Amino acid sequence: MPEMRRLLARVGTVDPESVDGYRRAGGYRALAATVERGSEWVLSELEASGLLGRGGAAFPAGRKWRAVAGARGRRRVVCNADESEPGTFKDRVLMEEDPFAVIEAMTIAGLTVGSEDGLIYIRGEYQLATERIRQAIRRAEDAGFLGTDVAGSGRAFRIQVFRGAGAYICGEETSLFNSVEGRRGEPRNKPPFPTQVGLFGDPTLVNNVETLCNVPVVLQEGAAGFRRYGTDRSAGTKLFCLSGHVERPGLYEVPFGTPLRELLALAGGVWRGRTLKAVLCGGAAGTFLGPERLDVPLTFEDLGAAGGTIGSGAVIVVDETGSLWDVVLRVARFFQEESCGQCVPCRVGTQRQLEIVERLASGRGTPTDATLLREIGAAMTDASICGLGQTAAGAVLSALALVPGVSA
Amino acid sequence: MLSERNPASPASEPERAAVERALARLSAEPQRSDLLPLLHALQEDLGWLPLAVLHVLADRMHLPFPDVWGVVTFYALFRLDPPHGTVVHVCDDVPCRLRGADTLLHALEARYGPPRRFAGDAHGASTDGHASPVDWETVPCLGQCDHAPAAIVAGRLRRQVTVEAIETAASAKGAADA
Repeated sequence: MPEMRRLLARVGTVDPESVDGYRRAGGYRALAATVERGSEWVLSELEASGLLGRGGAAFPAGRKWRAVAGARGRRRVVCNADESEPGTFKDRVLMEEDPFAVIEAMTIAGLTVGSEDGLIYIRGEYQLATERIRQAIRRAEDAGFLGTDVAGSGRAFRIQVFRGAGAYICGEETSLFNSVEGRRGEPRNKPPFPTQVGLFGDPTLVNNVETLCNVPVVLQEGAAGFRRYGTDRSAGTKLFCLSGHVERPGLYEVPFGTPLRELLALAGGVWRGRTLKAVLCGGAAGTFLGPERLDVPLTFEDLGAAGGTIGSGAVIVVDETGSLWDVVLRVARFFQEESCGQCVPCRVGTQRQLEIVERLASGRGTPTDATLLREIGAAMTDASICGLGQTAAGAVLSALALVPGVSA
Repeated sequence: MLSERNPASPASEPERAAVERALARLSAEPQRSDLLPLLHALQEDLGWLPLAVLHVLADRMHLPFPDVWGVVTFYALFRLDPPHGTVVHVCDDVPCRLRGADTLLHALEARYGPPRRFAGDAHGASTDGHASPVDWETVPCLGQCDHAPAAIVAGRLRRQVTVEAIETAASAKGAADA
């Protein structure tokens, strides 16, 4: 299956600083249709499209939008652009190269769920993305696509840019709210869910950048058109970030269902003619897949059944010469450093996990270490408040199966 | 009086002025949700966040100082000790390590001493006793995995970075500061 550039259609071909260029390339037609046809049309198209969230959790986008649209009082729209999953850079590329698409999608969301207040939370390290988004907001305001009368609808929508300050946890939606509110970015207990009690206590629609960029595609092509690519349960296309030991690291868009092997081939395969040792699929919060899993179709359902995850779309390739222990050690250290420390299973679990991995990696492992890792992993997965702790053991445990001698 | 609450390090006039400059950028009285933007503005202005400045800020925002302290120390980008030389954030996460970050880290350590590991770390004194011209630390994934290895050098993103590129940037900064 070849590349299918729907989300990437304008990336590298249209000037990301020009609102006119964006319009000539099809931009703002979905917003015009939204103004003309109304919220119910948007919601039903989105629900029928089967669009699932692209930030890692794969929640049905239409259901989220419907919940916020049905809420009372002041509502908010938040774009989660705190992309910090190791090996992930898709949202950065979208914001840098197609910023108006992000802005248009947020505006559609605002009109649809009845919100006048948009906020985009961009990780602090993404300078160019922040500049491009800020500029796009100004130009959209000047062109009448943001402000007190959005595209002649008579309705208001504004977007505020908020800079993160270096905390992986703030990609978790309730941590993000706390961060915006001037607090430590620690997650909140759910329920209540953001659609009920979100930013500043108001019902809030939170979507990842890539999820939002799918919305204008859905509205322009219709739900059925959107579903021409992908599978029944994983509709549309997906951005994958290829990195590590591949010939051409970069961002690739393919229909869901494309086998991992073909995705790797698009990036030129394993570099320097070497053979594959493993792929870390989904970033630090993801899982390792060995060479025998290359034929797995990249869908939420197939990867889930294989014990893996699409996650954020990170695909990190390790060749035969690479050290899996080095990778696992870095992942374990990552979680130990990024755990916010609020809940015990994650705070203690990520620390103990790191200590055991250090022991195993240096050849000083004990016969019970693999069992201990599984028990700690189970405790973190079951009892942590948020996704960070719940996914902190996935990569480590999946690596055990690939390393001879420690899987006992 | 503020100085009674924090007698060890009263804010200097320039530090107080920096807080007022940051507050003046707001359109209204500061809200708690202005805290992160204000901290960013102060750090851009001063290069780091001196303790005395945080006390002044907490006072002006009517927040208890421990609240502000708790927030500042939560976020990795806020810096509580003054940088020496060129500040370098080197990505040492998985994709960058797979494409040469480990070599880069070793080269940086050999040339500029060990990386800074926490606020106030006695880092960067090179072996001959002079302060290193590069104040560096490792950071998690910068999202530049398609151009690994990556670093942020003096606030500017560098892709496919080498120790030579960092050295050039540091000596350019050294010359500009001299």
